[in-house]
Amino acid sequence: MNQEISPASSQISENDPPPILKTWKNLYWLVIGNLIVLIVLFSILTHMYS
Amino acid sequence: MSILDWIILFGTLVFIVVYGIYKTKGSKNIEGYLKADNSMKWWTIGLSVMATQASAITFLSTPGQAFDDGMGFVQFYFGLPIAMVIVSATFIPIYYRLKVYTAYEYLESRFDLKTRILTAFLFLLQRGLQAGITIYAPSIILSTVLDWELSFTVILIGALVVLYTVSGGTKAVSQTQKYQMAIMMGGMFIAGITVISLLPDEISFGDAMQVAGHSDKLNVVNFSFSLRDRYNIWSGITGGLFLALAYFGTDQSQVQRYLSGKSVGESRLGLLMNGLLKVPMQFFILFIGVMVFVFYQFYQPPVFFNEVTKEKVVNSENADELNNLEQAYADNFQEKKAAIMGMLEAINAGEQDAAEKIKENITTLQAEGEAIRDDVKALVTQTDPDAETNDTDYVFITFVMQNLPKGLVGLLFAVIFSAAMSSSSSELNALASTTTIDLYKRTMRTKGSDRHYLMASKYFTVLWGLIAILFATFASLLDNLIEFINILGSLFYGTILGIFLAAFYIKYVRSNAVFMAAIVAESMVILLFSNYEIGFLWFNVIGCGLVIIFSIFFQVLIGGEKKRE
Repeated sequence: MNQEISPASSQISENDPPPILKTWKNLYWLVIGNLIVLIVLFSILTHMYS
Repeated sequence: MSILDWIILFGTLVFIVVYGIYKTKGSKNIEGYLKADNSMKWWTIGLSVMATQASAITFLSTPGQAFDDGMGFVQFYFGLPIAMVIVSATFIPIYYRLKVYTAYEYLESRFDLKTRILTAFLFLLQRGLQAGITIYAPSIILSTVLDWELSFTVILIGALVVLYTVSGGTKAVSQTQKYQMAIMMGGMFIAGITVISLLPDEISFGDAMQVAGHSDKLNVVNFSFSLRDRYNIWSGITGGLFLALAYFGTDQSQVQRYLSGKSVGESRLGLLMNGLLKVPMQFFILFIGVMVFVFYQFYQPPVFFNEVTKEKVVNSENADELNNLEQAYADNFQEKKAAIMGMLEAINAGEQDAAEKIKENITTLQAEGEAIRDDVKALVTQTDPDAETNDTDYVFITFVMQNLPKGLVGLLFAVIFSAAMSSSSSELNALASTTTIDLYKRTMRTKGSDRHYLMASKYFTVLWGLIAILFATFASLLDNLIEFINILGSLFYGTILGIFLAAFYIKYVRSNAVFMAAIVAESMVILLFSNYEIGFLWFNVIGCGLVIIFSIFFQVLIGGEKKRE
């Protein structure tokens, strides 16, 4: 890898918990769950007005 | 447009540019210029990622698409939240651990230089051409409705973007996108409320939904599986997932947005915010299009939404025939409007049988109305064989100009210009980064000072900006080029994604195997594209799959290759 430019000073904190829901896994499930809820709502909407 | 509209439009544009330059002036090193000193918080990253993806065409075409086809297009985004989770869990920690400036830099540490250069070159080729289209596509519509010269519109958008992108780099792009996104969502929200409030007093929101539902505009989810369907839930989740993975995980215009984050956590939160909000946002934009459709069931719509093209027919020998068709369309509209009012009365009175009978009549009248519009389009072609007969992109902007109150018209134009500028600035910023870091610094001038590379990044931003402006200015001379460039993206994306997925998930695959696999896969994709009729979105899946299969195959063949440390 090209290392000639000084490395960034970012914090490598991939193990830090997210600000809500305690773990990243829980947050990922929130995003997937949100998608599932939206698909269910869209399906109900489609069914109601088809 | 009124003076108030012009003030709001130009006031917004000037504010964005001045804010972008003032707030981010004086980046002193390459890290500050290309990675914003890793200072961005998650909401800035999230808004920046969303603003990069939302081009002007999103706001011009999407409501028109719902007007025409209904809301099924939202299914195209169902794979995106899943991709956000995968990128957050896998891609981001690796990019951060290696402290890369570009996604392609990672490929050198995982494979070798030639794989990095190949992937960076594929990105520059497709994104460099796309940058011109990002400016050209809205300019052709805006110059038509505002009666401006196309070249003026192109240069206005291009020059404004280059000004603040060159000045402040990634920080300027992300900071301005925060406000551009606020303008876009605020403007669209007000437009949505306004279109509903413009419906006749006797039509409730429930009535509007009945009208939309009867016209098949509320078929949001389609569970039937067919390769012929452009949008169903299965193609949305699979094709949409591959496309979103390629776009958010490997396209530098997006990777650069979240690499500017303060930490892995900030970048992850930014992407997950996009995963939560993108589908509802697209749903809302499409819903505005459906409400515009309902509006035009009660107020006479134009028979053809591109007024400038229609004017050519008015000034030709076909004027009388157009006049007759417009009269027939007006009669059809009045008859249909009366039938719709009758249907709503029957539904509200609980007379289902009567409502069903009227619905059949409405369906017939809608088909007759569409037939008249087809006749008008045929007349347009007869008058000018080169004229564009698809007027979908003009539906929303025509509605805005003819029906929204003073001030709001200017705000909606500000939304469209903001969207064009936000996606262009990300593209120029990413093109300059990749050119500087992956090509210039790595292969041409390996021992320059930090300031030298900072200046090189600025020059490359100007260069790519000029290329985009020039390309957009002359794009209209090349008829089939735009469609080809849109397809070109999908022809390369699959291969690029395949290289990255092999790098992340198939640990025993080495550089020579993946490089050969990429060459073979890309050749096969081009061969398939040239000889078979396959929906171009499927090339994302095919290219990616071929790279993975061939890289495993070649690795088994040349298994003795020494492991890279």
